[in-house]
Amino acid sequence: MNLPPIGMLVLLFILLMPVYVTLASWLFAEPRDGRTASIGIVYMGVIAVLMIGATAGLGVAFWVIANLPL
Amino acid sequence: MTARTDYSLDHLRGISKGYLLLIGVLFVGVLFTLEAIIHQVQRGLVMTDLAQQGTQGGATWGLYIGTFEWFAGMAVGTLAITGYIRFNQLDQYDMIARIGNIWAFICGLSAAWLIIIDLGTPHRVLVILTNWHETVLHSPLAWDVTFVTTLMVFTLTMLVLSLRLDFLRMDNDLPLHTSIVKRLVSIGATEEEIPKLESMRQWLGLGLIVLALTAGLVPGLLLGVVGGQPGYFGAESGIIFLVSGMLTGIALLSVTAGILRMRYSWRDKLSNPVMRGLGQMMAAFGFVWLIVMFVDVTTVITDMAPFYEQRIGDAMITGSLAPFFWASILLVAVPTFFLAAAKYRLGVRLQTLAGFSILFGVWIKSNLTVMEPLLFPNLPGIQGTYTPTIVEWVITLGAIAIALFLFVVALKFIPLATVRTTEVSNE
Amino acid sequence: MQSDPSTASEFDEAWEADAERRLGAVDYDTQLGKDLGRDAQRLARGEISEAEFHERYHEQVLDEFGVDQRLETYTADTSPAVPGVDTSADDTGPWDGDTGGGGGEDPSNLPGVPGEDPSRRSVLKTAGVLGAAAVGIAGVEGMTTGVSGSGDEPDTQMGMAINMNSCIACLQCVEACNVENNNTPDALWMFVHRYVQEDYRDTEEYLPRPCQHCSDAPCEAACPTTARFQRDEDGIVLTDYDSCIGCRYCEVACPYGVNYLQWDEPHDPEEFTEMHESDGAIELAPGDLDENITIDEEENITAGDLNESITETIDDPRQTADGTHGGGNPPKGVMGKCTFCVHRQDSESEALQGTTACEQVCPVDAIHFGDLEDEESAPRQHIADLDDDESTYRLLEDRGTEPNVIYVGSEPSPDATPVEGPRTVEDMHRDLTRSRTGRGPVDYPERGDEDDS
Repeated sequence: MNLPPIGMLVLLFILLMPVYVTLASWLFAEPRDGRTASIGIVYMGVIAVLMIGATAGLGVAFWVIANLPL
Repeated sequence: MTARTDYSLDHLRGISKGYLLLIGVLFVGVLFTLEAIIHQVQRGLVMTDLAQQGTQGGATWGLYIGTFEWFAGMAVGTLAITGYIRFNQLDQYDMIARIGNIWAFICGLSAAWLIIIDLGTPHRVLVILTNWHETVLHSPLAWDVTFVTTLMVFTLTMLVLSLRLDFLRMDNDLPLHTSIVKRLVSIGATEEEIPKLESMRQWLGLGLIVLALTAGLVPGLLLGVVGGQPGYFGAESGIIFLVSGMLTGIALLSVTAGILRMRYSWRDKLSNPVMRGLGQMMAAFGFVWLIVMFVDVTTVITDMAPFYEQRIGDAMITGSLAPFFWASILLVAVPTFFLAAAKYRLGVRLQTLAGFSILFGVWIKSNLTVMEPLLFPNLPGIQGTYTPTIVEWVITLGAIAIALFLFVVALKFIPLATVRTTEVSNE
Repeated sequence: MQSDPSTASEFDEAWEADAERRLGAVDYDTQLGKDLGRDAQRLARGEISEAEFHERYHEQVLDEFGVDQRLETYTADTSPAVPGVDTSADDTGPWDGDTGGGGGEDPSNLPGVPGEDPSRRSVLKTAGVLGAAAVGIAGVEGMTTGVSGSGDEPDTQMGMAINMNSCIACLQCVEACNVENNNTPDALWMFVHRYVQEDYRDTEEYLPRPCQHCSDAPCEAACPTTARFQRDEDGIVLTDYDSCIGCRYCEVACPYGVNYLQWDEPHDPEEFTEMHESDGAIELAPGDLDENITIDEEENITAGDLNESITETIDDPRQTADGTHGGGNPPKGVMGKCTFCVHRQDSESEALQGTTACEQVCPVDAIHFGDLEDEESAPRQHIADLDDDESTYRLLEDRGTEPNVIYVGSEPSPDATPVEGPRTVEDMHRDLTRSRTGRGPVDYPERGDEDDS
């Protein structure tokens, strides 16, 4: 009766939709090639980590700028 | 299987005077921006003209968020086009797909950047990520962060995969800086991968389309789900954002393609049919955009509309916001009309001009969309005014300069021309 | 308390006294109410059957209220509102006996609650009258769900009753708030809207506006870092100054405009104390404090006095009970808003708890702060003591925010015209300019000016 929080629906059925589509088709579409697919997924994962890491780095950069003795 | 034909990589080599000048000018712009950023971060957002609506008579969000919406829109538009070309394997538009791919990433980056620079405490940006698992359940801003991150991951992955494929097929000598890119994307690459890579690129194209057309609504919803403000029409704002994004995305690609074609005389790669196709899409989405704007305004100008909304409608049509509103409409309507009237054969120069006009028009409207409701308080307070400070102008225009700078630099590192089949482009 | 199996201890003398007191305020049979309430809880625990419960009181309820639809209404999820049936309090008289009979056709024929539509809420309130006091409501609600227990509502919900009819827009509350919380003049956590209602009266009205501390706060849902939260223990909505990123999405989401970013450097707490000492404010010995902070208009407390005593008792106004930094003024780049003087609520001093600066300085006693769940509290008492012709409302309630400030007076209509007037005490002595760089004077619309510009 109670819907889950709206954000849960947005996340699962809207935001992550392209991830499902991509991963499923990479793994199951012809021609099947586990090695190449895995390389693709690893690339994607590394890029994701880099993006999040860059955000953290940006935060540090801003902290430094905010505290520069200018 | 496509034939190996000529790979003109002339844009990667040599540095002309014009290029140096462009880089120089943009770099100066970037330095100015950096100065403004240091200024703002050290002194705080007091350096902007942003203020509390109603009681301080200001707008809470201004140029930064308006330009964010514009960049995010272009990111969605270029993303959708890249995905469409890749998924349908429109080899004729190969170069457009690469340009769109690069722009989608840069626009996503610029959008994220503008959100961060708009924060009161930008050094805490990581807090958004550490609390994400909780806030994503209810905060549209957390959805937006998710979307922009996904967008950047997907576009970069697409860039990596498609470059990997292109490099596998290329046997040209590459300049040193490009061979570094090649090494980065070609880890463990073998010729046997080619069929699978083609398939993966195609399906990732579908992923991009899905990302653009579903999650692409989210930056619009950022405003639309806020019930507190009149004028953020929930049902429309996602659609308006998406349509604006498609329009600006195509305009951006048309402008880029036009300039590149003129600069490098790429009549074969960016052929007349390709340019015309872009012009056609630009006119079509320009028309849709105008209809959406009409619908948007209709909501606020009827006598039956709630008073809060009417006030905004009046300001847009005849009041204080009218010059901006009508400017944005004309900047889109006029080129759309001429594109259609000339059956998309305006010529590269005029079409590029049309693209600029549309980009500028939608930029004005993106800013208006953000500010309109914030200038009109719900409770009897002061009607707001907002005059961006020099710091805001420098950082906003600087964000555009940074985006251009990144693209111009990318142009020297990333091959745009890819595999072309011989049988196309004989119109 | 419902989980306690021993009936004897549950319905003791205290319960009786409480129920009697609550029911005494209502014009219905006190004894019947008590019995109903008690048995409703037994029913919820399954000690008696629904039929038994219905049988036992059917006659009496019919007698007393002219209608008995407990079974129908309580078991139905909602009671449909029937248009045209006036259930307002003035009209509770003519209850036709013939609509009763254990299951009347018209489910809206329940004794109404003043000013409410006959929605589910009023049904529950009516049930409250029937079932005697809060325990009764819990019991009756238990009937529909089959389990007994209290709802999700917090036991304590701090809130205010603000009487617009008393307000004279002296702005003492605004000043006291800024002094108490050490804020810069452009942060108007408490703001007094001045406007003219375009109707026959054409009088200037004043609407003091603190944060509404909504139970369904849009700012909390919007926040991308969980910095904005509502405290469980007393329902106060706070900002965690350590995790707020200053994105101002809460400000955009709030229809009341109560959020103020700390655009510039905030006042330093120490600097502030010194400032007031040099002002020559009265020196207080620690023992003097409690007498000084009594709620008594005669003593004429000024904002300066208030802060003096506050800095004496509270070392770190930003620190709240659970260690979060959410009280006092926010650091630069962080969102601030009215905290219901959370540093007072969390202080050791009993004289400070349950008070706010604005409430204390108000010379006309327009602001009443306290627990809205507690009938004895200042706001509840103020509402209870109102004359019959005074109406109450909650601000922009149609936005679904469930605000916890109750206003006495009439709500401003959307087309109310704001009028010129000072916005801070400082403004009273100089022209109207915002204390922000590069800002011109504020432009007010002309009286009755329909244009937006």
